Amino acid sequence: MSFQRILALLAKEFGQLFKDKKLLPLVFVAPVMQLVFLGYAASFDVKNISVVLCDQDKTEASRSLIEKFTNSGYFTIEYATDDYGSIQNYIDDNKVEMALVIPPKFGDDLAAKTPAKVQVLFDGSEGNTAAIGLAYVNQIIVQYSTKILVQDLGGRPLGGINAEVRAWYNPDLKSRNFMVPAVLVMILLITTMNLTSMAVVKEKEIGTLEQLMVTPIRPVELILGKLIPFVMIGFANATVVLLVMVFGFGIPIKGSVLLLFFLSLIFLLTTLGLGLFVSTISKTQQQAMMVGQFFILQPMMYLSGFAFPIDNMPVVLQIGSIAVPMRHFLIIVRSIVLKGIGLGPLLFPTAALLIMGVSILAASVVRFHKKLD
Amino acid sequence: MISIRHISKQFPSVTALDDVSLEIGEKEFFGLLGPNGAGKTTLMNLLVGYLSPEKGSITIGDQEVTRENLDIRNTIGFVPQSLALYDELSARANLEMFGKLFNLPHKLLSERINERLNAVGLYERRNDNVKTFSGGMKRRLNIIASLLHDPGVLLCDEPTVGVDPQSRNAIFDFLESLNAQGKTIIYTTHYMEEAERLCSRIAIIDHGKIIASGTSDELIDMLPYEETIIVAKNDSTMEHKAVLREFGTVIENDDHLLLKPGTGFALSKFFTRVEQEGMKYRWFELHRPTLEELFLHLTGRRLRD
Repeated sequence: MSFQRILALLAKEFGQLFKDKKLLPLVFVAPVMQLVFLGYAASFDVKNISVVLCDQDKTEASRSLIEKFTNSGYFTIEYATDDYGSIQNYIDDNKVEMALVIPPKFGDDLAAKTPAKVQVLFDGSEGNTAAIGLAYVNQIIVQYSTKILVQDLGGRPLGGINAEVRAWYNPDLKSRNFMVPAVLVMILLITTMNLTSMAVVKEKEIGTLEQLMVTPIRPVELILGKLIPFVMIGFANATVVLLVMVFGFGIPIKGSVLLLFFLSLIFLLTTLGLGLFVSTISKTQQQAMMVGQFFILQPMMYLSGFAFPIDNMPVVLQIGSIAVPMRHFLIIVRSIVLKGIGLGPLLFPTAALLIMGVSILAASVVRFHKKLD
Repeated sequence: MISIRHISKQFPSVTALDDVSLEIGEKEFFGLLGPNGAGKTTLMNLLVGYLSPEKGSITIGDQEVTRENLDIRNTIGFVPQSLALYDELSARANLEMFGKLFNLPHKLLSERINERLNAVGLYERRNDNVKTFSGGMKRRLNIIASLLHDPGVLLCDEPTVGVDPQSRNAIFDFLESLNAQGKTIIYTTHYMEEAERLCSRIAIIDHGKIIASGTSDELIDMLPYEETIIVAKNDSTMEHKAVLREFGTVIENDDHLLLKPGTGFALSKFFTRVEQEGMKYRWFELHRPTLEELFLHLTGRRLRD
C-alpha cells in the first residue's frame, strides 16, 4: 500500500472541498444551523397552551380554579366568552388549543359538597399538545380537589401515597437535552454518508474515476483516499457540534469525550459504508442525494428513536429497528452525554454497531469493486 | 512490441470486440480508425487493463496486460475520450495529484510538471483553476497528465473531440514530437484525415472486427481503383463527354463529372488530349482515394454514419 497515493487523494479531496464555495459552508455551517434550529425548535415541551375561557359561574370558586390554571405556567388564557356556542369557532379558527368551560353552579356544587363539573375541550388535531395538556389538566384538577378535601377534613392531612418523582439525568425533562445530542448523530450521518456518496459519484460523472483506475493505484488505496477525508470532516463536524452543545446550549458532556469520539468512529464505518453503497447504485449526484435522503436517512430517523419512542412502535418495527445503526449510536451518545456512563453498560449497542459497521462497509467495498469491473 | 491476440469482449447487449488481433511495433504511431461504436474505446480500455477480455490476451513487451497487473500501468499513458480533470483545482494541482499516483519523487515530479506544461504552452496558466481553461487547453492538460510518469506507450482515445482546429493542430504537433522522441502511440479516431496525417499504420475497425490494416498507401491500394478525376460540369466538358469516356468511366453528378480511369490510363496523355480539345486544366482536379472511400467500399457505410 502506498501512503503517497492515499495522501495525494486526500490533498485532492480537501483541495476540491476548500475551493468549492458552495459546498464548504454546507459542510461546516449547515450542521451548526441544524443544531441551533433543532435545538430550539424541535422541542416536545408544551408550554403556554392557549385557552378560551367560558366561565359561566363567575364565583370565587371558579376564579380560584382558573388561577390554578394560569399559575401553572402551562396555560395562557387568550380569550374569554360567556357564549358556549362560540367555543367551536375559537378552536376551528386555530385561535386557541383548549377551551375551559366552568358551568353555572360550579361554586354552589362545591359548597354543597356534591361533585362539581368542568369541561375541558382540546384541539385533537395537535395530538401531542392535546395529550400533554390533558395530563397537565388532570394534575391541576387533582391538586385542586385534594385541596378542597383537605379543607373539608378540617385541615387534617390525607393518607394515601405521595410519590416522590425524580427524572434522573434530565431533571427538568427538557426535550432539548434529549434532542441536541441526537442532532450530533444525525449530522454525522448526513454529512459523512452524503459527502461520500456524492464525492464518488462525482468522480464517475466527470470521468476521473476511470482515469484514476488506469494508474497503478490499488482499489484499497482508492477507497481509503476517498473515505478518510470524510472521516476527518465528520470528526470536525462532531467537534463543532459538541462545542455548540456544551457552550451554546449549556448541555455538558458527563461522560468521556474520548470514548464518544472512539465510538463515533465505529458509527462512521456504517455511514461511510452506506455512502459507498449509495455511490454504487447512483449514476448522478442528484440520484445519490435522493437515494440517501429517502431510502436511508429518513427511515433511520423514524426508526431509530431519534424523535419517536421505539416502544410506541408496532412490534415488527421495534424488531426491525434493531438493524438500524443510528438506534444504537443514539443510545451511546445520549448515555455518554447525559448519563456519563462508560463502555461497560454500552457493550451491546457498541457490539451491534461494530458488527453492522464492518458488515456494511465490507459489503459496500466488495460491491464498489465489482462495479469497477 | 504490443501484441493483441484473438481478443474478444462481450457486453450484455453487444459484442464489442470479436477476435481482434494486432501487432504494433515499438515507436510506431498506430491508428485505429472506425465509426462510433466500432469497439475502439473498448480496445483501449483492454490495452490499459481497465477491462478484462473474455478471450485472448494482450502483451506489452514481455508483460501481460491484466486488471491485476498494476505495474504495467507504469509503462502506459492513457488519454481518455472524455476530459478527466478536476475543474476546481489548478493545472498544477491536477498534475501533482496524477503524478503522485505513480509514486514519482517530489523533485522529479515537479521538474516533469514544469517541463510538460512548457511543452504544451500552459506553464503561464499553471496556477489557474482548470475551470477557467478553454476546451483545447483542457485537452492539452489532460494529455500531459498521462505523460508525467514518462510511459513508453501512449494510448489516445479520440483526444481531439470538441477541440478547435488551432488546438487540434497543436495537439497533433505535440503527439508527433512525442513519437519522434520514441514513444509508441496508439491513436483512435473516426476522422480519416487525422489517421492519415498522424499514423504510420492504421487498422480499420467496424462492429468489433478489424476489417483492414496497413499503411495508408497499402489500405488505399485495397480499393479497385486509384485516382479519380473530378471534372467541372460546364458546356465544354459536357460536349466532350465522349472524349472523356475514352479514358475511363464517366459518372455524371449534380455539380461535377467523375472520371474513373480505365486500364492503361496515363495522366500525361489525358492532359495532352484535354488541351487539344480546348478544355482548360483548371476544370480538372485529380482526386486521390481516401480511407473514407475504402471504408465505404468495405462496409457500404460512411465512417460518420
